[in-house]
Amino acid sequence: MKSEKVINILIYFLLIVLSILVCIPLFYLIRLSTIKTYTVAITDYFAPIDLWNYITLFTGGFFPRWMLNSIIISTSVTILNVLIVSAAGYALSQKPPFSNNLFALTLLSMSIPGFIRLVPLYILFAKMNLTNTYFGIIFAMLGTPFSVFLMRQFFISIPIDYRESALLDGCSEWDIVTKIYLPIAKPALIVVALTEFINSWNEFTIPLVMVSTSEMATVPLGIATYITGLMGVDWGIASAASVIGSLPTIILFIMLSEHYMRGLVTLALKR
Amino acid sequence: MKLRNLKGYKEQYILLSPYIFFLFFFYIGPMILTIILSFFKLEYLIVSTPEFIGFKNYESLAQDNIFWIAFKNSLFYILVMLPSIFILSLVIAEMLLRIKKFKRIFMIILIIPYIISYVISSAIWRAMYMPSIGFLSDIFLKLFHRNINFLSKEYVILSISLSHIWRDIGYFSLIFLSGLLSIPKEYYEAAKIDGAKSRQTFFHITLPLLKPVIFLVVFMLIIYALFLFTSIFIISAGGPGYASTNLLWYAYQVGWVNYKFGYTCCILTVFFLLVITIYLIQKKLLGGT
Repeated sequence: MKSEKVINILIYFLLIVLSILVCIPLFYLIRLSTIKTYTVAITDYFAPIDLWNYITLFTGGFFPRWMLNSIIISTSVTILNVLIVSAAGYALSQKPPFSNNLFALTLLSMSIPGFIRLVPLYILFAKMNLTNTYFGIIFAMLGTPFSVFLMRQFFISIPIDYRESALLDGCSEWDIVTKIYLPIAKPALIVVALTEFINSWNEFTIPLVMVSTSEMATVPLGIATYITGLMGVDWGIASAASVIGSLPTIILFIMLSEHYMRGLVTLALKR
Repeated sequence: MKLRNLKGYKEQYILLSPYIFFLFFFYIGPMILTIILSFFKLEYLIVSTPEFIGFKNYESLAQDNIFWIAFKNSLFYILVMLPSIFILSLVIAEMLLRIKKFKRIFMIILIIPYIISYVISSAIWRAMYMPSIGFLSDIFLKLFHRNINFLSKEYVILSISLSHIWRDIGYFSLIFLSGLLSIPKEYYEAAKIDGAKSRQTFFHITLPLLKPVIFLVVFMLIIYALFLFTSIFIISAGGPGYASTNLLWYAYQVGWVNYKFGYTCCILTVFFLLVITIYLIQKKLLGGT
């Protein structure tokens, strides 16, 4: 019993050390964002807190617009994808003809990088004048195969009896989906919705090739232009933008974390 | 079953139709087009028409030194990231499994780097790696009086990998943890009654039952390591020289900087074949699904 206690203390100690190590880069980011690196040295870690960077971000330049763009794009992508993906996952789980082929294609598409489709996708969107539009950026992120895979795996684990007895009771297909399957699938839906929001908020390559104007940039693309710009980096401004740009996903994740972890465990159990 | 056949599958196909549209037009279609375009010379995406040149792109690829550097670097990223993230995540998951208090807080702290954008996580590390004034360089200089250039030729791949280790361990611990939680407790109790040591339990119960999760994690990690792009874009821009250039970064450079999109498609096709080969090898070795 005694050795178990020692091990337990050791585990807590290691986890605390690890957590501190993981947090150091984050604290560094927050610290940089409160140093006016425009005039103060970046190595002056104990400089007084100065909110100049944040004020500058919101009083001029494109940053507010990037936030707005990201909010519009991520919200639309999340809502549309949850609808598309849960419908597809459910339908695939019912094994209609050709569903095995579709599932194989889904697995294949999951494991190819988004990059492989960028050249043709860009040509298509440019010819349709969809580059630099919300519609184009949102459209390019729809129909995530990985989410379809997750939903299908979840739905397939629901016993077929539910469905058969509902059919015997005279329920329509629509009733079965909305009244039986979707309520059961709530944990999986939360995982998928959160993943979709985080991924679309953080998406970089699609805006990188689809957007060429500062007005239409998303938060990650905008921050990338701060950092890779030719005129040198103002780390204070870039850090402040990074802090603000990370808040939506972090807050959402902390709010939903319990559901998310439970959902992840459920999905792992169903596999 | 009769009932279902009678009903037909009209509704299922209506529900599937949006996904089928996106799958074919945005995933499968572009993928096939990329393979087709790899046999063409295509200089400007919108104005020029592709010119068929057969295997010429592939021939120049075989003699392209930078391509082979990028190829080797891509494999090197896997070699660094796969074992380190795998082992660390499994150890963290085992630790999280054993504790009762503050579990959720640890999990949230560890996963926050994974939630923030690649651009931002890479920006943080770029700031830390900056020669002499970055936090890490500065600390090394002040504590050990050593001037280390993290972005030099020798260290750049390790530095970029470290930013990914920092970013991904939380997420993969969570996946391992959910796998560990799905193992029925009775197995461990039975092993305890039989007097098995904890190391024996780990190798004879935990690992075999965790096999599907292990397969998933290994595959995901290989994909993550191969698909590095944003961090290279932000931290090193493929440099110094070509020291951190991987296949995706090279493909991007060739196309969006040098306007040789046919060649880009050719690199991407080879990349695609590499992913499939690795998947098949892994399937054979680990025998996953």
